[in-house]
Amino acid sequence: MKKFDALNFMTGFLAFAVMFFIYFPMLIVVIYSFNADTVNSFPIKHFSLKWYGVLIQNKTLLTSLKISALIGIFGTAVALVIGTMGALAMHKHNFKLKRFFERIVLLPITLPGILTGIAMLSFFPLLGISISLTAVVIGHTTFLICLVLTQVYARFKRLDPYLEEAAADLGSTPWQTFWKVTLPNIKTAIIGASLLSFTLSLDEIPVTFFLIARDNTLPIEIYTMLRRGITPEVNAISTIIFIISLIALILSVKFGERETKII
Amino acid sequence: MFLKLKPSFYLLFLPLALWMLLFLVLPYTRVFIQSFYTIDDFGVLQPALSFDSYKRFFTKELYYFTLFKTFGLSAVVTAIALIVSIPLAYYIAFKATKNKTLLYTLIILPLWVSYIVRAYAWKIILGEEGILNSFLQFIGFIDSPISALLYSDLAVVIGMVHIYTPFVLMPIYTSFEQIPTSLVEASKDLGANRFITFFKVVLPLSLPGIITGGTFAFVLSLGDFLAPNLLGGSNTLFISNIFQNMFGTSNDKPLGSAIGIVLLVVVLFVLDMSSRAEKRYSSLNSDRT
Amino acid sequence: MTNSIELKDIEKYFGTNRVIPKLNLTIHQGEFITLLGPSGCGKTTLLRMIAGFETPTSGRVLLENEDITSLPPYKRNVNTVFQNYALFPHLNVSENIAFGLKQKGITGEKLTNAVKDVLETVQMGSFINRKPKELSGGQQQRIALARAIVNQPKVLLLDEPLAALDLKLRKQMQFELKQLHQQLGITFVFVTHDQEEALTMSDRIAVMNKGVIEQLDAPQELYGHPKSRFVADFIGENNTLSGTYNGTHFVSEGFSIPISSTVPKGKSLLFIRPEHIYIHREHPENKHKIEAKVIGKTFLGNLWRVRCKISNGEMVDVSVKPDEIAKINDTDTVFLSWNDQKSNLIHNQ
Ligand SMILES: Nc1ncnc2c1ncn2[C@@H]1O[C@H](COP(=O)(O)OP(=O)(O)O)[C@@H](O)[C@H]1O
Ligand SMILES: [Mg+2]
Repeated sequence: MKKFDALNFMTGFLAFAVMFFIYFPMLIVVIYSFNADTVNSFPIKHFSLKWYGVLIQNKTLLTSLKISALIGIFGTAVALVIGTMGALAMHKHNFKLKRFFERIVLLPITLPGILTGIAMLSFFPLLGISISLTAVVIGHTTFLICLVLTQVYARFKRLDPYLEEAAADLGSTPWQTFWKVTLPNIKTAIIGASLLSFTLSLDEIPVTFFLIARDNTLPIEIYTMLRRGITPEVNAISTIIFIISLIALILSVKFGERETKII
Repeated sequence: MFLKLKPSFYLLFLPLALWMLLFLVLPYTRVFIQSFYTIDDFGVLQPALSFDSYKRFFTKELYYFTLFKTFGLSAVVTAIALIVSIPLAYYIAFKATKNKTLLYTLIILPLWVSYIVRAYAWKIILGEEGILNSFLQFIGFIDSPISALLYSDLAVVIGMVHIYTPFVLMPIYTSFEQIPTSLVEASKDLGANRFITFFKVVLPLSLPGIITGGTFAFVLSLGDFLAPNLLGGSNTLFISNIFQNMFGTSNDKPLGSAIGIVLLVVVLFVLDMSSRAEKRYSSLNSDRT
Repeated sequence: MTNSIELKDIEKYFGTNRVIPKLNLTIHQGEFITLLGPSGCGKTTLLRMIAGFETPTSGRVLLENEDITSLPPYKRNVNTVFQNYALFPHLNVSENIAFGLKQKGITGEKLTNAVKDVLETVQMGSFINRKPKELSGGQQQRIALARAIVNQPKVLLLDEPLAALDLKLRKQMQFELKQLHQQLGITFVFVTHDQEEALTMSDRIAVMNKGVIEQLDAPQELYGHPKSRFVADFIGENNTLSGTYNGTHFVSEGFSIPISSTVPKGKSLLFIRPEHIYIHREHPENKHKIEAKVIGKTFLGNLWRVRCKISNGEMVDVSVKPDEIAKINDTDTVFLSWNDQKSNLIHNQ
């Protein structure tokens, strides 16, 4: 039998309290999505799936979901190509500004989105890109490229440098080496980066906020709904988003684990 | 310097470089240039080299006061997020034995859940007709709802702490994990109790993680304009809200750009300080380069 | 004897750091040559220039009289066993081994047979479907070896292939590698910093120091007649006495030893190994000898090592058999002698 230990108990209690703080609000949203009432108050009198029904009828919201998905898919695809190519260039070659560049590519992820958003808003029209979904896609792709680049580059850094040499030693041209040895070994990082990119794109507000014209993305649509006043539909859509995020995370953890095992 | 490199490098690197130049560097440059412009009576931009916008920003109380307030509230958010994160990270890293992966997954899950959903949750909890008020009324703790819960600095801070805590938790947990058990054991072997071990061994060794986490929280809070919008209403202005306004209703792009540049400089400064501090305090060998 | 690899006036810089100053080396067809030297002396760099992973800053690399200096690695008929093995983690054992052959367009039964045969050769027949991470270090080593030799390269390059193995396994693999070399008849270029490994395995050893080949000789010659202090010290145990050669004698403070040598007169060094020194309690009649004082003794298992201080102040280590050690005590005065043939005199610039 273990002795009761006040210090251990305190740590455990604090940990639990923090965990509760993190999850409590999300739990509330999920629970209240089944509230039949229009007002979110305590206690819940009737449970129903009513708001999920309303949700399915909400054309604007569904359209915004479709728009978000398309932006996410397109942005991720472009980011994968450009980002992986860039990571490969940085992995294969040494240039003087490399260290500097390594830090620069982090900026679009770390700088406040509102800054990037407004910078793009101020400049895109000069390029002939009007405020539209095109602008949003470009905006998303910009930080997604940096995300893919950093993730894939990090994987490259952990990659055994002798693998590619071994392939060359056994007669592979650089191109063959890439397809037969490099790519299979960074595959998990690419999949992980795609999932993360897509999720981030789906969730992005600050940049989108300034570049969007009429067609809202899902989070912007929700934001608009919130500005107009609280509608219980938001509980329902939030619950769905929560579940989708959960699935995306589980997938990424699964791939992430595989990745660590390889080393 | 680039000239010596092989053609394959350019082929791979060019799309990236072009994209970043066109869609990132030039837009920021534009903001920088624009901050020296002026506007005429109709709100139309006039190219100029004027420091007027910066002057206005640093002389009008509302502006610089808001900047300081943003610093203050961001610092509060950072401090609370750190205080809240350390015990949980510690517990998962050192105390939890069975469900470590599950627990870790649980703390990073919120990062994957929509920002807007998390901000929204606090709206329905703290609202005048919200869940907290109706719960307190239900148990008879209060008679009439407290209206000051939502649309206050407090609501913004609570919301931000909630939103940014996972960003703080992750690096701290990682740095706890990297501490070799043997060091903790050595400390105890040398006669330090758990308190001393924590403050003299664990905490100093995890300082880089704590700095990273703190920087995340601080920088993200500095630039947030949505949480203040949703949870602070018109009562709580962050610098980003004024910034946003200048490009919207106030239509003063030079002033807005100047604010943007000030914010940019502040953020870059914080990031640079933090990466220096991180290097300085990292005593464990890691593959961080 | 035909030449397998020739390195001609090779120079290698990394940035401004000259790692290899002008170096010439000719490797014979079918020999087992070892590059031996301390860590950082440029062995790997030399090997990588033969493999094609590094290009010499100047100079030429010839493979069977053909200039391959600027040929990329995948066009060279040379294969490498990497120090960390570099097995492809995403491929299993047979796919790893088949990699090079597939590159050459070999498929079908010919491929499967070649893979099977080479696995038999390295005694790994039953591991065909394993992934590298499911193998022990020694097993990975064998697969790395198989993956290289299956291509029947003209030269096999091995960069400290046994460094990660424990002592017993290392001895075993040394033996097997040697056998494999005889069986295949391929030129082996082997890199190690372990002098014992080099001595037991090689036909010839190139002792390297700071990018320079100090001596290139067969193991016995290298051990028996080191041509520089570095070589004498690096290979086996060695005592160095410093003095001058006057044409007939090696002279130092307090002693003078008759020696006939072609070494020019002047400052010189005399190398003598501990096991070649006799230790006497009394002045021996008919030999030249040096008086010495016993400083200490160390037990080495089959031998004792006695450390003595001689009249010029230098230390000399002597091997002593266990049954003779009892007679020798600290601070004793003793007399050291050796056979002329066993000592080596060199000029000391
Ligand atoms: N890619 C490189 N860039 C810069 N210096 C290098 C590189 N590779 C090796 N060196 C330097 O060259 C010297 C010789 O290295 P190496 O050939 O690996 O030695 P060895 O294999 O004998 O231990 C070392 O001083 C090392 O630091
Ligand atoms: Mg080496």
